[in-house]
Amino acid sequence: MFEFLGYQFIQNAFFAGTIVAVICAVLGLFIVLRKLSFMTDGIAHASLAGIAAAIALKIDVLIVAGFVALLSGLGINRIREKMKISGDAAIGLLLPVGLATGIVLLSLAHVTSVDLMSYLFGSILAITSSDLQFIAIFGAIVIATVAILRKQLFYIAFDEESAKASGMPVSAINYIFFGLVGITVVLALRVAGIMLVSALMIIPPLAALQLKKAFTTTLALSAAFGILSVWVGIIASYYIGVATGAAIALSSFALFLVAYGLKNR
Amino acid sequence: MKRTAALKASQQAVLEFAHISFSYAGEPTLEDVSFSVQKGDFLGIIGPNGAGKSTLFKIALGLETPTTGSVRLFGNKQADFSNWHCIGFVPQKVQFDPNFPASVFEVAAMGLAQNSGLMPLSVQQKIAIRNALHEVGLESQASKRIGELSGGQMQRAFLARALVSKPDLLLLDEPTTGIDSAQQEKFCCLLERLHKAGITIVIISHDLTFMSYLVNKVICINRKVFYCGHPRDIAKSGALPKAYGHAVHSVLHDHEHGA
Repeated sequence: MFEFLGYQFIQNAFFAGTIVAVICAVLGLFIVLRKLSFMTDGIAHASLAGIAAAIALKIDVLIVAGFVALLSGLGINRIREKMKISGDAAIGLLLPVGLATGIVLLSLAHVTSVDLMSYLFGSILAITSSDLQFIAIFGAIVIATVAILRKQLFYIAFDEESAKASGMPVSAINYIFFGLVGITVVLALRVAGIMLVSALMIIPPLAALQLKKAFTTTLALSAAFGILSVWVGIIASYYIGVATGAAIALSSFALFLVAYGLKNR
Repeated sequence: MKRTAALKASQQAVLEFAHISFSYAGEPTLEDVSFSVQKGDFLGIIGPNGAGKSTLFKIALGLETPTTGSVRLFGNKQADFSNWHCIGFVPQKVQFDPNFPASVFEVAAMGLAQNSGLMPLSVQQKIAIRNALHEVGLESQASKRIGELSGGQMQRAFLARALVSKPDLLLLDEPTTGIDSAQQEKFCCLLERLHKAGITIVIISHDLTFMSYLVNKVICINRKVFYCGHPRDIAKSGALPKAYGHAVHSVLHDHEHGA
């Protein structure tokens, strides 16, 4: 039944998907708690400019898109802090700029829609060993940083003003956090694509929050839901023969419904 | 070591405002406000809405920068101060989602979150959190989610968060707003106990009666300082109608506090 696990590309998909699921679900919980869920889509759309530039210039897409997404994350925080614009409005400001820049670059470079499809909807089954290495290295950096800063990120998500009043360097931590979100969105692009990245970053934390547990348990549940979404999505897409990114997004939503059902049992 | 240095400095004044002025969007909120809080004080700040009371705390804690003037904490310039664990702060109203996944224990533990690190809470830190929750009477509620507590219990949980780092100075911004009288009384007893244990307390409140039961020194402000002294003498000073712009009737409790 599980003979497909012998294929290298399936193994790569499982490894990459599991790493991405964990970092997305962990960072996603902080994003949801800070009421910045729209941010994931904002950065993903803004990264289209990087993808377009990389395709047009024939250079590594993950690196260029990663750089643009990192800048977008830091830019959103800069706009929030310095221009006193709320987080969702700052995202709304950057999203169309990135998207429009991407479309202009793609038009100028005469890029076909085939080149773009894998970035719009993900192509987890096409992940190569070098992609996997990239995802593993940056995934480890993201997880290690969150592990070190978890207490501060938790306090800031709960009560940012009191966190500042306690002498915590909130502004610096916010820049690190928004930068990590940028990196994570790009790592998730190969798995779920620009259009479906929130399926990994927002839905698993929302499912975990339905179960009304304390923070540490919710964080673990969020990661577990993320991993389960990816595994069920890959297996379902293999047997049913549908797009893997979409199967992951739908399995993620199905898990949310299960968690919601458990809450209201 | 750092704590000893802070305590030595506190033999002068633990908190000192010197000629503080501040404006919000060009509108003056504070004008030339100067006063100091000595170690062992239980000081109340009163004044009408918009008088600049909370702004004073924000300036002391570095959340706002004054237009003119300076603040000293434990003898150090505010900008140079680093021993933040010596100060506990309970804000007026913590705006949070009632479904936020934080237990009472986790909220109290936030008081130890200044230092980053991979290590989980040490045994000593867990004991400190349990002790702070015991102090505020919430030890049995430690595993409950914060959103499940009543208003009074929530304020005590935030007080536990402020107490967990064993502060020398507590800043409380209207901690009893929206709490019923029974819970207020409990809160008062708790503050008296903390003061007797040696913590210097500065409290902002609208409630003069509540305040006069607790404090040994009161500051009445409305942009400027109108009164600074013992609560017993504030009524006859004539400061209240000047600060509030109308006659203020309140039952002021008249008793001496041991500082």
